[in-house]
Amino acid sequence: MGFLRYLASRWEHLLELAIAHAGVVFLSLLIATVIGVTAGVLVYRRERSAEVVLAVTSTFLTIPSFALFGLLLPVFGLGWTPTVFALVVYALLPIVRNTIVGLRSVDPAITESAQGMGMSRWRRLFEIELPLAWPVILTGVRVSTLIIVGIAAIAAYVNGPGLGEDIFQGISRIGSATALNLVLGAVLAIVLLALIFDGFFALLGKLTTSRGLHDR
Amino acid sequence: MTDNGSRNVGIAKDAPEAMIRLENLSKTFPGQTESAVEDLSMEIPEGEIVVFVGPSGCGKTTTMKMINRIIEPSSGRIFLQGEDVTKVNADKLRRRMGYVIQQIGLFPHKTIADNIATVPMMLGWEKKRVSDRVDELLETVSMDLSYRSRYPKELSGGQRQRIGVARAMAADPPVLLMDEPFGAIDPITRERLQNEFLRLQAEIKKTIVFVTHDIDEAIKMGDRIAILQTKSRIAQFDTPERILTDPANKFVEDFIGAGASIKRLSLSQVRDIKTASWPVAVLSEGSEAVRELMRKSGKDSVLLLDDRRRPKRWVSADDLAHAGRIEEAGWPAVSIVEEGSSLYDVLDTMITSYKGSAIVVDGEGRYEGVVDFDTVLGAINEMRPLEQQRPELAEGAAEQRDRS
Repeated sequence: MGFLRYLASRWEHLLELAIAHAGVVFLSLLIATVIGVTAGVLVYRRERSAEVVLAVTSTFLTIPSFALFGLLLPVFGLGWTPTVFALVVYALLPIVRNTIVGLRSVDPAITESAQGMGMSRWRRLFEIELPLAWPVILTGVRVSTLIIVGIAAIAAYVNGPGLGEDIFQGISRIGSATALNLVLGAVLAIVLLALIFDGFFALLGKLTTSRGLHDR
Repeated sequence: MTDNGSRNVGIAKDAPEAMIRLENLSKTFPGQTESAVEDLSMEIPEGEIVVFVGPSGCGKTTTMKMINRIIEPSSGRIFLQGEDVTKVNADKLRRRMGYVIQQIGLFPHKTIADNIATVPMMLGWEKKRVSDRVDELLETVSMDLSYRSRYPKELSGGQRQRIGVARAMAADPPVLLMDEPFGAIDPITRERLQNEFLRLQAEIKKTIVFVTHDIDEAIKMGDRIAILQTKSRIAQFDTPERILTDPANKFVEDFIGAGASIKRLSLSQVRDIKTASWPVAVLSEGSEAVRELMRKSGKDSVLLLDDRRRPKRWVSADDLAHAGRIEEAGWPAVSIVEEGSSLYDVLDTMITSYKGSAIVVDGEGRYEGVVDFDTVLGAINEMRPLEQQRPELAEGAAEQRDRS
């Protein structure tokens, strides 16, 4: 059947999968942001620790996703758990790196004058440094999103949620009439999802960044 | 005066109570063999601007940063208002001192009002009080209240540093620490800011530690100057006048550079020295009265004033004889200086004057007296320490006074 007719008939199914896909991505991002920003905050002032953390998270990204899912299978079983775990691992690097870069790029004159005024270490971090590093950190989150929106499809390998299900089905039926439609439909949905996420973060960035920091 | 010898001590004689006392402060940075500051002791008198000045690397900024413990001392003690603050909570200590740095460091993500309100908010002031204080400070630093809601990126360098100063004074701390605050600003704006700051200080009388590498700024701004050599060794700790007239050693001389005497002149005002008087007459008295005055005084010219006692013209006996109306006799009096002018300005005026003298007037332009080169030389002579005074100049000045 033609692709458009296929879409017309299966759009509810695709929507269902898309929502699950978005859900698992969003949850993983949330967890990765919490862990990543915390890690960044802990090490940004220590050269060697920062290097270690960055090296470790970089390595995560180089593990082929298929292999990672395969390794997680005996530990976490099937479904959401291994999926979220894997996605968090992949989302970490851009967030950690950008947290470190963002915090380090705060003008030392600003932190020094804050210190000179008697702001405690915590206050400086939460009122001055993090807000100033926020745009950079958010960019890291956006990059992570783009990475894991795609990888989430591979989670179908461990019966994970999302649009990967259709892709795997399509691939297993290569040669049949529906194969192409299945894969294409899912891919289209994933791309759309990526764009929606990106737009969401762009909006979030605008809303949460002080007017004093916007470029003219 | 400096009580040095082998100890590095700066105590001001005839000074008010010490607001800040530094006792044997030393700092050696980790990994360095040489200390940055060695065994420095000093008293900063209350209500004065004390300037730390010296060549790059002498440790002046390090010393200042030890006062609010941005840099923790390796050894020694710091006293604020008599209290030993060497080991107290550093954050709480810093809320009692204003801190202004060269790069200013305004928070770009906060409005000007929020920037200024930082310390008061931390101290828990209520919102209305904070808001009023922000308005008050904006006025104090001559900025329009409309700047409250603007962001630092919208301001020029000079404006930002005004806000920097306002922010430092927000909680009305007794002490201000300023590290080359006007260093990153263009010379014209810098001079304006310096003048405004001095006017402000005359009102609020805070205790200020001011670091600069510019000796002219130190002379202009300081009530007392500490000239520091390497490791913050105090070469001289004294008023600008005494440093200029009596440098303690060759280092201080070299640091002041050429023109020390001229610089010295800019520190004294003409109202501080004894002016000579000269025969004066009011224009409306008429030529006859003027001639009579000239004869009796034995001088060759008379200064004519208008009805409000403002100097108008010089006339000699000759001019009176030959001129028609008295208003056109002689020549106009133009070399006039206000009593608040510096001796430097007076000298400048005298050089171009007809008779090598200048007329001193008060704030309303009314005649006070005259000065000439001898008067100024005599005044400079008296500024020198006793051993260096030239007796003939002292006599000359006395003669002048007797004659008139």
